[in-house]
Amino acid sequence: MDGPSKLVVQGLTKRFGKVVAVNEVSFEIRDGEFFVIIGPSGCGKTTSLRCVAGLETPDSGSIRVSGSDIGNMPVYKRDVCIVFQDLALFAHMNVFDNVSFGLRMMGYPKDRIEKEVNEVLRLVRLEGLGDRRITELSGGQKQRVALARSLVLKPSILLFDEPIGGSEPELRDRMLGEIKDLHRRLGFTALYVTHDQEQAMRLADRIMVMNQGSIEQIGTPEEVYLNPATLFVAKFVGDINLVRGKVASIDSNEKRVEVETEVGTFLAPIREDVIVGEPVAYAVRPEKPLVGKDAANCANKFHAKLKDRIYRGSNLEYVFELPNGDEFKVLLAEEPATRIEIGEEAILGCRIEDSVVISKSSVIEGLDIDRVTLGE
Amino acid sequence: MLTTVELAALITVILVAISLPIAYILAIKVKSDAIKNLVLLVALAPFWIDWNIRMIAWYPVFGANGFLSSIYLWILKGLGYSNAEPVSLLFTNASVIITWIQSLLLFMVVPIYLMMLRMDPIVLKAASTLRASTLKTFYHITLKWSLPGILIGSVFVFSLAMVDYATPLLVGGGLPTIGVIIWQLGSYYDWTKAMALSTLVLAIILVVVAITLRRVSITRILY
Amino acid sequence: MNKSDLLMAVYIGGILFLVYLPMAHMIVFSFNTLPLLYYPFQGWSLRWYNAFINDPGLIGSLQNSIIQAGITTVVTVAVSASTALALRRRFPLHDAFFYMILLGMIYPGVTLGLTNLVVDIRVFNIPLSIWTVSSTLSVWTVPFGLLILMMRFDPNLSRYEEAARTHRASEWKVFTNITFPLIRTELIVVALFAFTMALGEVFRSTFVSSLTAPVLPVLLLSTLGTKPPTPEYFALGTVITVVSLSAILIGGAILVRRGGLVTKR
Repeated sequence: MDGPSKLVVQGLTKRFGKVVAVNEVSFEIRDGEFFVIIGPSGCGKTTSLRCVAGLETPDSGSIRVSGSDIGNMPVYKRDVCIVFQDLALFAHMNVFDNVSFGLRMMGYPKDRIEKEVNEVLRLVRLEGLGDRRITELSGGQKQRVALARSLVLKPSILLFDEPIGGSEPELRDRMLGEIKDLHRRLGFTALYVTHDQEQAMRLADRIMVMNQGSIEQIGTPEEVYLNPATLFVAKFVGDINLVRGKVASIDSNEKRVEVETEVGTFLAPIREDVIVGEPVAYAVRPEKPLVGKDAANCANKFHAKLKDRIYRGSNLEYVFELPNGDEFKVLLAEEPATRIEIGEEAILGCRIEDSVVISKSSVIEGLDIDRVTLGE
Repeated sequence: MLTTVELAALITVILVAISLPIAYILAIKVKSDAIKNLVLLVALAPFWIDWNIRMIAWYPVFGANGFLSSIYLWILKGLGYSNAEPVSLLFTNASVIITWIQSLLLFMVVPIYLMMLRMDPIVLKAASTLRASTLKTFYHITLKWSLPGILIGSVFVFSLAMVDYATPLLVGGGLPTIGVIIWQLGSYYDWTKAMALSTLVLAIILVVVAITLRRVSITRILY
Repeated sequence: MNKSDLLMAVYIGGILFLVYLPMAHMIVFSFNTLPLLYYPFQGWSLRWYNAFINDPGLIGSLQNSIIQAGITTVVTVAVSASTALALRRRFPLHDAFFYMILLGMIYPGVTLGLTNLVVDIRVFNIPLSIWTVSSTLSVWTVPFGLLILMMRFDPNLSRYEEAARTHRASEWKVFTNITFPLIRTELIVVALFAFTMALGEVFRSTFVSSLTAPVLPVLLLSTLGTKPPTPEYFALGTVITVVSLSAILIGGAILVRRGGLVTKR
């Protein structure tokens, strides 16, 4: 995946009236990369996408595709295609006309169009359905037509504007699989926008988390999940346990940070930007803590009381309460050897390498992290 | 003798009363789309026909030996009044009003109908589960919802009635409404007076429209 | 059918009866043998149809009316379509622009006719003709066309246009491939309505119509205002009615087939 940059966005800014939808956003997408922008509604992800497509004109910033600035190019000259949220298939045309649309607009000869369209229809498993009306198709088929319509044009960048959503989970799952599969086979460069963290994690080579027009973090799904840069990212991508405290000491040799909290002192891997005395949050993802006997060997221990036990089929969620009233969730694959009853006290353990210390709430100044509605 | 404004106001009120049931029946009571459209079309069609011809088409109805008169006589004779006189409604206020009902009906029904169409019938069902009788539902919900349509319809009807000169002329026998006067002035080339009067009328109508539209946003209704 | 349904049907039926009463009389009496417009009906004759066909003034003005209505229709469709499409996006003075166009609809016909007359003759020195009638009537018909289109626009239209743009379609291609096919039937309806409205319009035409070659309604108004009408006009009226009704019914049938008179939201 280390290749030349396909898309370079620099300092992108877009205002709607007084609202700054996109605020000095810069990022790069490499050739063949599947890049996902994720964030709550109103964070500017869709606007950024539309700026790249040319459907919105940015107030400032530059957009370069394969090195050339496309900022002044009209939409139809840009080498991008969008797969829309509501698919926006041309209802008054059949499947073939929909998929061949772009090629027809570019004036390709008929036999070439026919060849390319049939090839792409085969690719998305819609062969032979060329003369079906759009209204006669199932939801999944419609999504594949939308994909085909854009794929056939072999654009430099394929843009996705939350194309999956509002359909049943099974359908969603299948579509995600298809998109991922197509990407693996065809190797196109993709810019995908969604609010659904699960989609992002599944599809992305790299994720960019946005919030109120600014970038919170850019990284691989692993980086974003295991090493969230801010509390916003920690909360938005997956569930997380947070205990607030202060930095007690920093051990540069052992590369560790000591965090002092109401419920104990904990150790976490070092983080460059923290200083002693700074208010931070000690964080650990719910599937990491250990319960019962295994907890004894952990560097970080918690005393907690079991508040709730939720059986989910594939896993068990234990909701604990720490002495200071904070909630602490633990996801287990199965019941621990010694079963814990509700109301009982237990000891939870977290390894140092599973812990994270987070110093910033968010890139946005003054954001009250506890009051932010995250996700949808 | 009613003045122009009074006449226009009267027809407006009458049309509101007549149109509300029509719009209600069509928008809400009639389930089939086909019937809705058919009735609307049939009721709308005559509107597009030549104004003048429609005026004189009323002669056989209103006239002394016309339709209404014959029915009137027939009823009276049946009741025993053998020396009843034929009656002519022509050249009276009444004939103008009745003619206007026919020609301006569309302008009142359509806006109200449009507003009522946008109402989800579920809302009415919900109201009934909250102890509202049909009448109460109509008043509190339907009426309030279609108020913008009523206001717009009234503005249309009022302004059209104010300046109509064909109807008072042909059917009302030269009823001197403002519209008629302006027209007469116009045809006698007394243009300055005609302009002055029409500007006055325009001003009145604009004031009425402005007052009405402050409470209603047309773009909200339509888009 | 229960009692309240019956009541409603009767009410609607009654309204329709009122509306069609004069029309029915007109059609019947156009065949009257004697030049009388009141009861009793004398007998069946085609003399009035004969009379009006042979009346050059009447036929001439009918011709003028049709030509003028045609011009008005073309203008109306073009202006209302472009306005309806443009108004989908907000722009500075968006509302003011919309109200200004709407003004043409509520503007008293008398005033419009009069001011246009003055403007044409005194300000621009244009002689009255079919063109002056068309331009005046268009001011009146455009808002109707605009409202019809706004009511009936497919809300998905902008989405399709965007999809087309991002698939290599230039603005013109977007219009011809996406926009126009999707609004084509609505435009036909607007054309039909505009045509019939312009055909029968009298308030504004009276002022801006040329005196030597008037449009039909104007001619009618002047003659009917002065001498008692004969069934000749009923014959004319019947013919116009039949033509207009068929046009409306065709337009309406197209609309109904396409999904109702008004798009449900």
